[in-house]
Amino acid sequence: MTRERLLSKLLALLVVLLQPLAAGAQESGSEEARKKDETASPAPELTQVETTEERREGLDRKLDSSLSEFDALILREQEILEQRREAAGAAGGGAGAGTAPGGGGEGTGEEGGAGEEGGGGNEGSEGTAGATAEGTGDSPDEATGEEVARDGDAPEAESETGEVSNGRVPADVGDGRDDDIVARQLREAAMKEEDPELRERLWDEYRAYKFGEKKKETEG
Amino acid sequence: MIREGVMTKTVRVAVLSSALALLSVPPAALALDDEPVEALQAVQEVPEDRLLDVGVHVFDSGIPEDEYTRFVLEEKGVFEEIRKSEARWIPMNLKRTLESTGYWGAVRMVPSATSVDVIVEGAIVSSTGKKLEIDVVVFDATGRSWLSKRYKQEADPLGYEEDATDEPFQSLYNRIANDLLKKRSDLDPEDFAEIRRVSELKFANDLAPAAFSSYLAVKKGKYSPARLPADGDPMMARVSEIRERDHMFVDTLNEYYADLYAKMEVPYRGWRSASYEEQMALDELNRAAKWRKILGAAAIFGGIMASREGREWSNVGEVAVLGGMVAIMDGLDKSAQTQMHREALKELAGSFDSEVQELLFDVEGEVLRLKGSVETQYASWRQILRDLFAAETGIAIDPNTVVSPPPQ
Repeated sequence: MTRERLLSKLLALLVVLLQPLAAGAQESGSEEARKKDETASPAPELTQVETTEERREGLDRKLDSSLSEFDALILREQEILEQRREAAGAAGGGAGAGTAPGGGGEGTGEEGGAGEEGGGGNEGSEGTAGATAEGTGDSPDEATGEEVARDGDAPEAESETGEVSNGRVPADVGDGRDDDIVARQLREAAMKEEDPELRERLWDEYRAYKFGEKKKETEG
Repeated sequence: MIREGVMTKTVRVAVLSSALALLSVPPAALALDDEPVEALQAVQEVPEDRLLDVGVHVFDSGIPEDEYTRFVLEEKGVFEEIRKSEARWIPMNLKRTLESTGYWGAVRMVPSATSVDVIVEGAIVSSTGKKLEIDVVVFDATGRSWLSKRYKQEADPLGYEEDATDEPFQSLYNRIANDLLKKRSDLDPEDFAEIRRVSELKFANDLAPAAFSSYLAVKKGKYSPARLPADGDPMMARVSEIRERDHMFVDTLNEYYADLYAKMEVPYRGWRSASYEEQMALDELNRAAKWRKILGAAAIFGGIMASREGREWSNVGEVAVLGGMVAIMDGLDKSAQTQMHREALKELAGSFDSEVQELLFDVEGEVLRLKGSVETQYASWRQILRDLFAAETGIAIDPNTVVSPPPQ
């Protein structure tokens, strides 16, 4: 009897001890079930509105991101073009530019009058190109002279590896020894850029390109 | 009867003496066909709503695919790579000329599928250092024809002088610019607005046909706006964002063409200048040879006729026959010299062809790479816009539907 009473007391104690645990488990289980229910069978109208709206927003974000990618692509192209011009200028200078007949400089003043949209960079560069090839020329382009002057500017303290020791190279970008052609052009453009804001953007482009490429290599 | 005989003799003497005199005097070089023409310039700033953007396509080089014809052309000194580079050089000059007038909005060299207010297409018929001949066709976004004309121009020799800065065929570009200006001045104010609107809607329709195809009406190949997007239309706002990028892309493309222009300018000018000299010498020899052969034949004929008249004319006749034979021999000798000049021209062209090939290859490689990247972006934008249209309207679009862009 005593034994039976002892057993019943032990059982009662166990029930008392296990009750909170069981309740906790029941509570969490119902929470999970509720969450599951929420995702599995929400109010139909609410979901449709949210999804449409979210979808539109998501697509707009995707478009914005694609447009930004495109802007970066164009920026890279501009840098490549700049490099090409500089290379052509250097080659022309070495070969004795200025012996050729003049001409070919592009006017920008008249485009301004014509209200050309977004063509300024282009026209300026044509002036550069003409100036680079010819050295001089009876061109109406004021930019020609400016570009010649810029072409004539010597890069600061260039080392044998082409590194500019002007303190503009961020510590995290490495020494660029393993750069491919695109990375090298981005790096050089960033090092030569005078505008600090644009320079930082170029370094960002360089990082994005280089570390993106490295990631691809390791994945491949 | 006696009078008639005297007259005949007088005429013969005149013919003979003229022929003998002409044999010793080469004909003067022909004058240029065309007088120099200046491009008309805007005297004041053109209002924004009257500025039409112009897209100039790369010209047709005029080199056929057929290998045999290409070989025949090469024998005549017409080389493929030179023509290909000229097919980019000439539109670039035209672009610059149009820009310089101040009458136009943005003037760009554009890929063929780009929607622009005014489109200029062209084909090279003939191009040497001495003469340029091109076909030009111009139409606007609505499909209205502006111009379809062949332009010919002889080079201005001043353009080949050592310190010259002008393009030797600048007058040809100026004439095209002036003709376009004339057509532009025929437009009514509402025509300007319509051309710009149609050009914008064509671009939108190309990107998002599901959303914009109903905005354009086409009747007998002419486009007009069927209706207009509401102010603040979100889809149109997105298309405008993309169009801005399209302009950036085309501007970048133009910089590559400008790069080619700059790089080929010196060798091209050198080649054209040498070609001009050779061609002038060749034409001169051709004329002289032809002239001498004709007059030589005339002198021989006159000499024979004179010898028949009697003793007093026989000496004159013999001299004329002899002179005529010498002239014909000289004419034949000049023909041999023209062949030398032809060979020299071919050699010059062949050498420049190799030089320009490398430049062309380099720039076209870059252009193709850029176009490839941009095409991928366009495909992505088309997809996003299609999904956005579906999300906003609830109209699902079959992604496999192929919508061809409207013809320009």
